[in-house]
Order: sequence, then structure tokens, then C-alpha cells
Amino acid sequence: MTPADWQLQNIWLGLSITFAVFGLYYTVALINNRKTTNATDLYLAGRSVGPLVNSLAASSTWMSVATFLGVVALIQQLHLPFVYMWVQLILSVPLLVLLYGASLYRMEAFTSVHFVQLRYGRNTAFLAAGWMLLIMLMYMIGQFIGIAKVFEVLLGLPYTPSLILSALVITGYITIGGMKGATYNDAIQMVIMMIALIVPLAAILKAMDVSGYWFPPLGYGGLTDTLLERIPTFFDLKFEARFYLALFVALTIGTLGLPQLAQRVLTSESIKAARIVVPWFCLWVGLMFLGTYAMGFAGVYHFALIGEELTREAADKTTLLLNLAYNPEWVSAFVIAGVLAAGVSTIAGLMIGVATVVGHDIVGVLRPQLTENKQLRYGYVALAGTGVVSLLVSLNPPAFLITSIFWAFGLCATAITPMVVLGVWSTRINVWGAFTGSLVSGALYIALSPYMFAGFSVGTGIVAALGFATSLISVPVGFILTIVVSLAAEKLTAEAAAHERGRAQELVETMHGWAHVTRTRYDSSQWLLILAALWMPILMWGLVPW
Amino acid sequence: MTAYIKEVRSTMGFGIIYVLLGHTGLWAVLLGTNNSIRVLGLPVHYFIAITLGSIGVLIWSIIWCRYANRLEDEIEAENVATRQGNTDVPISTDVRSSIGADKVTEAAK
Repeated sequence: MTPADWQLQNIWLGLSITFAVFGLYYTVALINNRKTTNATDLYLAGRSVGPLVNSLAASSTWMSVATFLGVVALIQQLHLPFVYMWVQLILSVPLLVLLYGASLYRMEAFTSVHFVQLRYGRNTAFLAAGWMLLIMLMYMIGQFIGIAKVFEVLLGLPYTPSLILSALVITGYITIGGMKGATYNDAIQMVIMMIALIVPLAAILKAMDVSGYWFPPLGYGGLTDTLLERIPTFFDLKFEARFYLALFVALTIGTLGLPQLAQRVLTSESIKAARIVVPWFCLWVGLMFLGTYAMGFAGVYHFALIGEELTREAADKTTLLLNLAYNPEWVSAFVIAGVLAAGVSTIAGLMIGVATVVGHDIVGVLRPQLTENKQLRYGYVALAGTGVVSLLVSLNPPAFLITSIFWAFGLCATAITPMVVLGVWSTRINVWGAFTGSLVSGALYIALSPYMFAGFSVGTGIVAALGFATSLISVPVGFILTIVVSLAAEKLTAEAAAHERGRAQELVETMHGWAHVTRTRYDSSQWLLILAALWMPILMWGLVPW
Repeated sequence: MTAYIKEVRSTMGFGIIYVLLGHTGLWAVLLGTNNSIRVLGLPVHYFIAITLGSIGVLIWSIIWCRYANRLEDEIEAENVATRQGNTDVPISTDVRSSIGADKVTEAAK
């Protein structure tokens, strides 16, 4: 297969779709630009977004280009284990809101870095900002590259002009609209995505003579027997139990620390509204995930039936190839609009996340006396700068930045989640533990990965490449170090630690909604030691060679 | 302290169930798989994984959302009761200003 097989033949169709969707996004951005008067409006949409719109926006931020392209290809390559990898991603927002979303909301934090700054001070905040910028940059470059490839298919342009054009157009509308514009655009994009995935999929399943075509998310069981005849191992587990445990350690714990998702919660109009986002989010994301598995299943079935082995590049385009094979070309153009929406909405969330970390959290700490107007101006510069820097890096990205986003989730699980979650639930975690745990475990994760010192890499193949093998060591180390160093610091630096603990008692009780401080809530070291002990067997298992 | 204990226990309980719903791969490793047992034409372990990981998580989120919002009211009620016969330590000015604690009660509503 060659690019000609998935290229739109009618260039006017591609141009019309591009102008129509971006025309809509710019209109929404311009309307919301007038409503942005301060930094809270720019970064958090003035904390005014209702649950329905916010749930669509959060879902849209979570759906990336991969939802339409990469996932289907990976289902073809990895079969059932990849479905298990993908299923748990839905837990990100529920666990985030459950474990720390409401607390950050009460603190009026702008991001997780802002929380770290309030909880542990500026040095730990700078460390957290460094990790988060690295994670978000890795995430964003993948999205920019994906969008550029979509522009190639839509407009028939070479890769580099596609990248520059798409990056400038996207940066423009996000900078104009800020978080308000991005939120309403994200919500619109989520609706486009759902229609673009599910409706054409129903037509594909109908063309395949599947009786359950009218409900694509669960209606494709009629293909199972034929698929099993061609690929008998499709539904096999293929990996040992440790692989499935690593999905929790690396991915579930990693995604619940992602700043762009936390920021979505913080745009809510109230804490109760933020909680109502969760079921709606699960509805939209669940529907999209079910649709994605169905599309992957149909893709595997189609190419197994015609006996064609796909190259990696062609496998990435399975959704487009299926639509071009079974639906008219205008339907494929609409599906591409869905892919664009998926990529653009993720980039929007990431760009605003990066801009908030840089413009609010870092500049705000370095220059706390900035006026409201100057904060806003820095915010716009940070947004535009984020887009331009990402474009420049994406033109010729360093190899370590284009590793899988799953690897970046492992880094988040290691270096960010422990200090945030433990800091919300325990007054005994202090700056020494948080800083040491994050720095040492983050460095360990990078050092043991196959991308830095290949000779020291833990595991081989996919478990090493995606960071699963490393996470089983570095995440336990992160939690254990954060706890042990915090408790040890209480003994070693008695006076300073006592002051720190007193402040943490006030902060932690308040962020949980208590109006008066008792200094007894969240103050036990017992459960911290139990948690550290529970991580030990996982660490031991992680140390066993794969 | 009742609402506090409820908060801690419910967070652990809801969290564990969420994790179990999204990680049925480990169940399949423990219980084994059989492609001949089908639901809607799909092998049962695959069907369980995708439905619990979507519809199951959705239903659990509805239950959690209702519970957590009710608990929020209980915390607020305890705050009111504490204010009436307050013997606890008030929040210090620096912490209050750094986290906008004045808006805590307002936000909870």
C-alpha cells in the first residue's frame, strides 16, 4: 500500500472540510476572546463552565489523533492486550477528581504545579514544572506530527508545509480564544468526533453484513468466528500477569497526574459541578472507546479477510482505508474532520496547560507582583510561544521526544503523582520527601529506560519501550522515597519539620473543606507506612528480570 | 469526625472498585479465558473488559458522584456545628491568604 491509497482524490473536498472546521473554531475563539479579561479567564475560563460542556471538553482533550489512527493500528498489531491497555485510560478523570480534583479546586489552584508550589514551596514547584513541561512537550509533538499527517491526506501537501500550516492555524485560534474559546471548541469537537467515528462505522458494519450494525459499539460480534478462523490468537492474553499489573502502575497512576486533565476540573463553576463532569465524561469516553475497539476489530477482520499485511504506516490509516473501501469519499472527508478535531482539541488542552505552567506558575512565582494586565499579556505570549516552540521542535524532534506517549505516562506516574496525591491526603509529607522522591525516581525512570543507557534498560521489547518494566521499579521507589524521606526529615530536622507540618495541617484540612483545623485529620503516619509496605512486593516483582 | 472517616473510607472504597473495573486483564489471567463462551457474539473475557471499562465505570461514577456530593453537605454541616461550639484551631492568616480559604465554604456550595 502507498500514500495514494489513503489520499483524498478530490482536493476541493479536503479544502472545504479544512476551511469549514477551522472557520467554525476561529469564530468560537473570536467570540470568547472578548470575554477574556484576566488570567483566570485565560487559563481557567473564569471557573464558569457547566458540567455538560466541561465533560465534552474534558473528553475531547483526552481523545487524541491516536483514537482514530494509532489505536486501530495497535489493535491490529497487539490484539487483545492493547484493548486492556486502552480500557483503563477511562479511569483518568474519575480517579483524578476522586483523589485530588476537589482539593485543588478549593485551593483555587491553576494547575498541579501551582498546588505543588502552595504545598511544598517554589523549588519543588520548579522541579514539578520541569517534569510536566517535558511530559506535555512529548505529548504535544506527537499530536502536531499526527495533525500534519492528516493535513497531508486532506490537502496533498508534503509533510513540512503541512506541519507549519497546521501548527500556525491551531496556535492562532487557541491563542485568540484562551481557555474559554478552547473549552467551547473542544465541546464542539467532541460532538464532531463521536459522529465521525460511530455513524460511518455503522455503515461499514452494514456493508460487512453484520446484523448488529445499528449499534456499532457492541454490535460486531457476528465477525468473531471468521476473525478467529484467520487469527486464532486474537483474544489470547499473550503477556504474563505482571504486564497487566504494570498497566495500573504505569498508565492508571500516570494519567491521573496529567495536568491538562486536572485543569479541566478546575474550570468548573463549583465542586459539585466538577463531580458531575465525571459520569458525563465516562459516557462520552466510554462510547468513543467502544467505537474505537469496534473500528479496530472491523479493520483486523477486513484485512485478515482479504489476506493483506499492512505496513506500519498503512496500519495507522486503517480507519481511513476502511472508510474509503466501504463509504463514499465525502464520508471519509468527514471522518478526517473527526481526526482533526481529536488532534486539535488535545493540542488545545496541552498548549493551555503549558502556557499556564509557564505564564502563571513559573513567571508568577518569579514575579509575584505582576498586575492583572501584565499577567494576561504574559499569558498570551506564553500561549503563542508554546505553539511556536512546539512547531520548531516538531520540525526535527530529538529522538527521545518522539517515544510513545505511554512512556511519558510512566514518567508522570513516577515523578508527579506521588507528591500530588500524597500531599493532598497526608500532612506528614513534606518538601524534603516530595523533592527527593520526585527527583530520584524520575531520574531512575529515565536512566532505566531504553532511550538513555540501552545497556541498563529494564525489560525488552514493548514492555521496555512503553515504560511498563521501568515503572514497576520507579513508581514504587517514588512512593516509598517520598514517604520514608518525609518521615525521616521529621526526625532529622525537628524544628523546621515541625513548622512545615503545622502549615501542612492547616493547608490539607482546609483543602478538604474543613473550616476549622483540628491538626488530627490526615495526620497519621501509620497508613503511609502501610502504603510504603504495600509497594515493596511490587518493587521486588519489578526487579525480577522480564 | 464522622464525615472525615466517611471521606477517607469512601475514597479508598470507590478508588479500589474503579481500579477493578478498569483492569479486568488481571481477572482474565487469574480465571482463564475461553473463546467459546460468548456474549453478543464476543468472547466473554473481551466483552467483560470493554463493558465494565465503559458502562461499568459510568454506573459507578453516577453512584460516586451522588455519594460525594452528599458527603460534601455533611462536611459543611459539621463545619456549621463546629462553628457553634468551636474549640478547634482557626486557620492562620498566611495559609488562609495563600489558598483563598475564605471561598472554601462558598465553593463547597
